[in-house]
Amino acid sequence: MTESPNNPPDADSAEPDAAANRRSLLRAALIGGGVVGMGGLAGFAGKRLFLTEREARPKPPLGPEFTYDVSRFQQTDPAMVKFTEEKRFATGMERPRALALGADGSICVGDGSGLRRFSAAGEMLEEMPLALPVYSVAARPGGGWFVGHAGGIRVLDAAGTEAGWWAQPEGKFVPTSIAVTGAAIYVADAGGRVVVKLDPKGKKIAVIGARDLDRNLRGFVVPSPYFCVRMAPDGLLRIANPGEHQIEAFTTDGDLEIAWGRGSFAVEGFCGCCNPVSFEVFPDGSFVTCEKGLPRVKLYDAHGGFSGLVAGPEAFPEYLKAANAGTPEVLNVGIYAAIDAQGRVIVLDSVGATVRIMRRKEAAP
Amino acid sequence: MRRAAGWIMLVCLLALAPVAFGVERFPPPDFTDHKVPHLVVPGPETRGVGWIDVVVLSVGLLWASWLSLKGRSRRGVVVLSILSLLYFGFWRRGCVCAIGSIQNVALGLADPTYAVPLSVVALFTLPLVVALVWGRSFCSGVCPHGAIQDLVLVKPVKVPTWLDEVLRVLPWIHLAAGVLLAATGGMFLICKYDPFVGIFRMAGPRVMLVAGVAMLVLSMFVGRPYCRYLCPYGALLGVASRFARWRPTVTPGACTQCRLCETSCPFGALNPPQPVATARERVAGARRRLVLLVVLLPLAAWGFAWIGGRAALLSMPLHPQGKLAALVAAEARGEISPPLPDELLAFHQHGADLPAAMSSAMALEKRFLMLGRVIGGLFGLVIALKLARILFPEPTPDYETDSGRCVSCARCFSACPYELLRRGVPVAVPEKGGRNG
Amino acid sequence: MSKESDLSRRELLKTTIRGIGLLGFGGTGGYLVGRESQSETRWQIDADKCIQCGRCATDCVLEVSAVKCVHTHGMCGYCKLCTAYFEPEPVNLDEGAENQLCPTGAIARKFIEEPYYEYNILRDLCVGCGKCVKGCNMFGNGSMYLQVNHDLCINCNMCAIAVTCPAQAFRQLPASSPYKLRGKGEGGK
Repeated sequence: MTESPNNPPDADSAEPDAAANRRSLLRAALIGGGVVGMGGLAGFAGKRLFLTEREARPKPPLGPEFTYDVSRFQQTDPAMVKFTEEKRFATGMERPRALALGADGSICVGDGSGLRRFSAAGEMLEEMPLALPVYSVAARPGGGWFVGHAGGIRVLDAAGTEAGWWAQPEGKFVPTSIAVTGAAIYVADAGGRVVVKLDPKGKKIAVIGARDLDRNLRGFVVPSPYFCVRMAPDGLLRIANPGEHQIEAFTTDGDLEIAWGRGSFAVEGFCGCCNPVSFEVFPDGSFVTCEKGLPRVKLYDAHGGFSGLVAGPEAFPEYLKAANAGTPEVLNVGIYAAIDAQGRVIVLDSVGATVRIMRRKEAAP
Repeated sequence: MRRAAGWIMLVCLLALAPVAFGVERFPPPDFTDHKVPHLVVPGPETRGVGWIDVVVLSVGLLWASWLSLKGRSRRGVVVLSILSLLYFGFWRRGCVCAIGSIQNVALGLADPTYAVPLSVVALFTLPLVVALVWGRSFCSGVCPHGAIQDLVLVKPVKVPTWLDEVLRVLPWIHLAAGVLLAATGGMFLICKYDPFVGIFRMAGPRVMLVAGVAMLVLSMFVGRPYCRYLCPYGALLGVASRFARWRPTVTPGACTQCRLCETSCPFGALNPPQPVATARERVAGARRRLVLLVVLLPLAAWGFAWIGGRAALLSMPLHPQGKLAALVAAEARGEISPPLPDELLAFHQHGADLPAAMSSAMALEKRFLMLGRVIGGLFGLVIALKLARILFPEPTPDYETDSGRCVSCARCFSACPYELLRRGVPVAVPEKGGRNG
Repeated sequence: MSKESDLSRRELLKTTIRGIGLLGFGGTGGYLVGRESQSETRWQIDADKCIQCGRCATDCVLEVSAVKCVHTHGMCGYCKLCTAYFEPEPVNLDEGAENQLCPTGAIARKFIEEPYYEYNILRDLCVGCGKCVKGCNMFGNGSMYLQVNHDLCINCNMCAIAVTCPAQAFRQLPASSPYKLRGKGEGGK
């Protein structure tokens, strides 16, 4: 922009003016070219530096010691899997966490908004909307269901209409499992950390498993709403003590007889802080157990010896995806199992909201 | 939709259940004599700092304006620079600053739900208002970015005019990109690539620190490289300052065109006299300028609007949603192999609503294209006006500061013999018109 | 066309543009300020969206991230075997460094009563990597989660982590309640 100093400012002649014009045009052209060139260069550099840099960085530059990795436990030896999937169907429910079989073999599943009953073929037979979230469900002798809600047990008759409400006085009653025998109904109360024994009319008869060091009862450690009770064929109750990674045998009067189980991420033990979340007893007294965190459905003999898997973590891809992402979707969901009359294991996966029917593999010759 | 229903249901559950069903608390153990501690979280220490910032800024602006127009004191500007470098730079750690506030304002105007704090609004508005009245006082010594560069300038090298003109387009590109990404809610580009904030914080990503140090070293020899060739706020201030009511002049009295100040400006903001044309030439010049503008303005606006739209679409992966959309699309095409990028992991985790993600990506694309075109068009106007200014410089009879570029640093004053006389320094005054005599 | 009229016309134009500019800036500022409650904001993590990718530890502009793990004790199970504290297969269930999950040893374990243990975050050691959070979410109750600690955060205009967060879990909350804590009744200062 510097005008030559020996060019008088008030020159009248047209010649230097034209020269100046040419010069400024040239300069303008130079600048225009420069702008275009710089723009191209900037665009190229931007594309190379920023866009690709951001895309090509799927993992942070943190060392492996800063990453929580249990992937080595998420794969199991196929030889240990003793069951095979016969059928799978979607429940269409939101994070179902209650499972029971009816006397007719129908499959009842409960979630936050009620119950659905499915045939073994996966057809929905009945839908029972309920005002409270369902924590547990059990078949009622003679038809109908016992449904566990926070604060009480709802009794439904065979037609699905309400036949009673057994309110529980404790403010934190969370019935996560119900076991029904001819004489009594046993409700595992995860909030109170005891098993409540009710008579068939719903009257509380006894409380089992409360901490009592004189009776050698250390109490149940239930850190989260997963607490399971079942009646075994030997007449003893089996109650999971998830915080201790054990299944404990109690008499119906509340005396602790035996316990088995240990905590381990390895397939023989119960993983995480609080497992098993649920279990079921075969007619021969052996067990099928369910774990959360690492979704595993496993088999133990009547004395607690590990004998194989029904399904390993790799069988629950939706669950694993949620668990590995670590978002709250994986909180308060579980794996639940039931055993039908043919000895098949019915598995409910909360995350996938699916029911699988697992059949024992033919014994190898 | 299913996901929405799920959420509604979850909310209902939480409202209904006495012991909550979701992630809400499950009763902790009944301890015999241990109280479960309450979670204590530390609060921000800096309550009320916003007001202090506004007050300090206002005082600084008034002081800087007085120094450049009345006090005419370079020493004062240096003192002010050090003080604001300490306060806005090292004490407030360079955040929030006026340069970054452009993005808050852009986002605030584009997204009515985004609340722009009062101090940020003040930081954006006050320097611009002052620029309209007294020129770029903010740049002189209030802005910590300007101050740090100005204070380290030891041996200014003149940037060739053509290069200077070309590089001075960069702030507009920076501004355009910054506004585009901020207004779409994507990211604050201007903050992300701010070279000095790492120095103010004495911490930051290595790239940021290296860039900061490199920029400082460059500032030792090139006057205020960030202000001149990158700062988007400087671009705005430059425009506002062209219309300033009062602005710094080299000489306090009459210019004799002694040429003593000619090299005193390290920032290329001192215009030597331009020939004053005759009336006939002025009319011809005005006609040429009009023709050029009538032809050039729409052409440039249209052309750059097209370029802006294309560039905006290219920059979509810088927006988190744009990036996610690209990844989701790539996954749908089967181009992503495990392990999944974290973005996709999170996407699947939160329901993996593909149609919703795609429709929001489409809406985003529309917004990018629209904004990109508008910003590109404005950018085209800027370029056209710039060219017009280069081709038809304003006639100036004396040495004058270029009001758009002058940062009121007060360096040129002491080069003027009349200023020295005013200060009582005995100097020989060159004869009036000595340049030609 | 005299020189004076030319200059005065130019001056008039400048004055007009100056007036428009002042009105524009004033109007923009006034609109933004007057629009709604202009409380200062702070960055925070929505723990329900967080996937513990580890970028909170690496992408904060501070030398050691302002993001730290916090622990809502009211949601904690007080487990003896805490998956946020212990390696997946600890040698022993004790406080030995080889058993601890946290690479910086930033969780303290304290015996309360049989069989319960309390876990506390040693904030000065925590780098915000989220390893324990994943352990807690995967197996436990989700009582541990990441939060921006506001005595450390310098409240960047645009949080550097928010830009790279793959789950878009960062939000700006009012400075008067700058935390998003889990559990009812939490949030004391």
